[in-house]
Amino acid sequence: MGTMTFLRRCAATLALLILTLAGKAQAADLKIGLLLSQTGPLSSYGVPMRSAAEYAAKVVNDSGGINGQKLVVLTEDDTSNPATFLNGLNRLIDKEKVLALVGPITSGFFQAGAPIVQEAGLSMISPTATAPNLTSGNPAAFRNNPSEDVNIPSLLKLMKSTHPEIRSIAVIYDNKEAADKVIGGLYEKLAPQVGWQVQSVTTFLSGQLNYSDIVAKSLRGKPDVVAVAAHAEDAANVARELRRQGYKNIILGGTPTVSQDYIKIGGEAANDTYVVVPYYHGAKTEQNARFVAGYTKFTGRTVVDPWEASTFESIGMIAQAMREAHVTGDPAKVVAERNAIQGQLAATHGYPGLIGNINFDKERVAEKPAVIIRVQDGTWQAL
Amino acid sequence: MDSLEFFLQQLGNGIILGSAYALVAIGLTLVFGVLGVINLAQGEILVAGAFAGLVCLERGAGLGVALLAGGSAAALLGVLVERLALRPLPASADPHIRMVSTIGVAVIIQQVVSQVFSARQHPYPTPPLLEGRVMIGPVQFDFVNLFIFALAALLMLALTYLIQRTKLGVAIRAVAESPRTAAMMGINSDLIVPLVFAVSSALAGVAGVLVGMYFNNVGPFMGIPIGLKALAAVIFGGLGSIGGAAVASVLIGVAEVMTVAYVASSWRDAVAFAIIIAALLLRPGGLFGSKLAEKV
Repeated sequence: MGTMTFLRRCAATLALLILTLAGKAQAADLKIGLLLSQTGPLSSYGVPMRSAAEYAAKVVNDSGGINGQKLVVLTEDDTSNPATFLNGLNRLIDKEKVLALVGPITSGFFQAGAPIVQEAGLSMISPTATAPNLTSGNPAAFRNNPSEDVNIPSLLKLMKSTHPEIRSIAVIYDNKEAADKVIGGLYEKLAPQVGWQVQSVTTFLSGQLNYSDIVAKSLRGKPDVVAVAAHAEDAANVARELRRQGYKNIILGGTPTVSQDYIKIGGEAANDTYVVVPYYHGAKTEQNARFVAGYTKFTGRTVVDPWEASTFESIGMIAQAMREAHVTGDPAKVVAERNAIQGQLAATHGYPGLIGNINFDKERVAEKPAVIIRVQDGTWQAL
Repeated sequence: MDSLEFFLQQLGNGIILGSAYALVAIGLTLVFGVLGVINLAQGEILVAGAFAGLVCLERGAGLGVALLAGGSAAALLGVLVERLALRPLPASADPHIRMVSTIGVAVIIQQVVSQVFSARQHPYPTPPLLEGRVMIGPVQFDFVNLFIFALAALLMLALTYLIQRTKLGVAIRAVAESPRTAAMMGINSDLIVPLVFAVSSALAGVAGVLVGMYFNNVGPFMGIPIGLKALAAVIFGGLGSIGGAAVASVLIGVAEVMTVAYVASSWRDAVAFAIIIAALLLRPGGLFGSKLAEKV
C-alpha cells in the first residue's frame, strides 16, 4: 500500500469516527431550556430556581437519565427585561432546539412568550406565574402553580375563622407586575365576601423607593388588616414602612412575596405575614425529605423557597413526559418530539410532587396541595 | 384620621421630602452659578453619599459618622468629577458639552455602585437616636423626619451665610461673575471651582443619607428621579437662585406627596412636573429668576 493511500484511509477512518461520536453526542443530550432571570430585580427568584433545575437534571441523570440519554438544562438570562426575555426564548427555540421550556418567572413574560411557544409546538411550564387564565386556549402553556383565585379565598376563609375581630382591610399592590395586580384585585373583590370592608386600595410602581406616602394613605382609616401584593423586595419595604408607621397587625400577602429575601430585607417587620403557597420546606413527606437533603447538599441552602421546589417538580414532570414519549433528541425530529412531550405533559396525572400528587387540569394548570404559611421568628412556618 | 389631620400630615411629609430635594437642588444651582454648567451627576453623587452612610450605619456607627461619611465621600467624588470630567475640557467648550460629560460620569457612578453593592434596593437603618415619633398638634411625625427638615434648613442657612457674609463667599461670587476679573483681584479660581464642587457634592451626599433614612431604603438607580426633580427645582426656582431652588424643591415635594394622597401613586412624578411646566409657561425665568428678554 502506498503512503498516500494509507494516509487517505487513516483520514477517512478518523472522519467516520468523529462523525459517529458527534452523532452519538447529539442524540445523547435531551435539552430543556430555562428562561429565568439571573440578573435584575427578579434574579432573587431566578438564581435559586436555576440551581433547582440543575439539581433536578442531576437527579434524573444519576438515576440513569431518560431512556439512557442525558438530560441537559440550558439557561437564558432574561435580565428581568421583556425584550431580553423574547430574544432568549427565540434563541432557545431556534438555535438550541430545546425540547421543552421551564420559565419564565412572571405572568407578564409568560403572556408575551406563549404565542411564540405555541407556534413552535413546544411546551413551556412556568413554576411561578399565578395570574388566572394564563394558560387558557394555548396547548403549549403550562403552569406548575395554582391560580391565585384558588389560593386567596382559602387564606381569607382561614383569617375569618381565626380572627373574627377583623372587619376592614386596606389593599396595597404593585401596579407594574401582572401577578401583583391580579392578587390586589382579588383581595379587593373577595374581602367583602368574608364580610370585610375594603377601606382603601392603593397602588405603587415596583422599584420606587418612597413608600411612606402610599402607606400613610393606606393606614389613614386604621384598617384591621393590610394586604400587600408585591414581589419580595417591594413587599418587604412596604412591610417595613407599615411597621414604622405604627401598624402592628397581620399582613396578608400573595405568592410572589414568598422568598427568603422577603424576610432578609423585611427583618422583624415581616413577622405575621400570611401567604398561601404550593410548597413548604418543612412538609413531612418522603419525597420532600429526600429532596431537601439532596438539594441542601448540592447548593448549601437549608431553607428551600416554593419556587425552587416548583422548578424541581417542573423539570421532573418534563423528564417523565420525555420518557413516556420515547424522545431521542434527534434534531431532525425536534418538531415531532416537542409535540409528543406536549401531549404527555397535558395528560400528567398523579405525578409524585414534593408535598402531594400533581395533575394538570384541562387548562394545564397544576392541581396540587397548598399550605398556608406565615413569617414567625424570622422564618416561614406552616400553621 | 379626619380630613384636616390627614391633609396636615401629608403637607408635613411633603415639606420634609422637599427639604431633602432642596439640598441637592441648591448644590446644583451653586455649581451652575459658578461654572455655568448643570452637573447632571448630582443625583448619582447623592447615591454615593447614601451608600457611604449605609456602610457606616450597618457597622453600628452613629448618625454623625454616617452623615460625615456621606458628605465626605460625596465631596471627594465631586472634586474628582470637576478634575477629570470638566477641567480637561477647553474653556471655550459649549456648556452643553460639559453637561453631557457629567451625564457620562453619572452613568459610570451608577454602574460602579450597582456592581459594588448590587443592583437591588438595600434597607436603610434608622439610627437609634432618631427612633420614635412625636405629636405636633394633630399631626404625628417621626423623629427622623423632623431631623431631616431641621438639618436641611440649617445647612441651607449655613450655605447662604457662607455665600453672602464671608470672604470665601465673596470670592465664589467674584468667580461666578467673572473668572478673569477675579483672577486679576488675586482670587485663584483653580481653588474656588473645586471647592464649590466639594461643597455642592457634600450637600448632595448628606441629602443621600437623609433620603435613605426617609425612604427607609436606597438603591443604585435612585439618583435619576431625585436628580431630575432637583434640576426641575433649579429651573423652577430660577437658575442661580439658592432661595428659589429651596422654595421650588419644597413645592415639588408637596405636589408629589399630595398627588399620592389624593390622586394615585403612579401619577406622582407626572403631576409634579406638570405643575412645573405650567408655572414656567407663566413665568419663564422661574419663581425667583429674572424675567427673560428675547435676544434680537
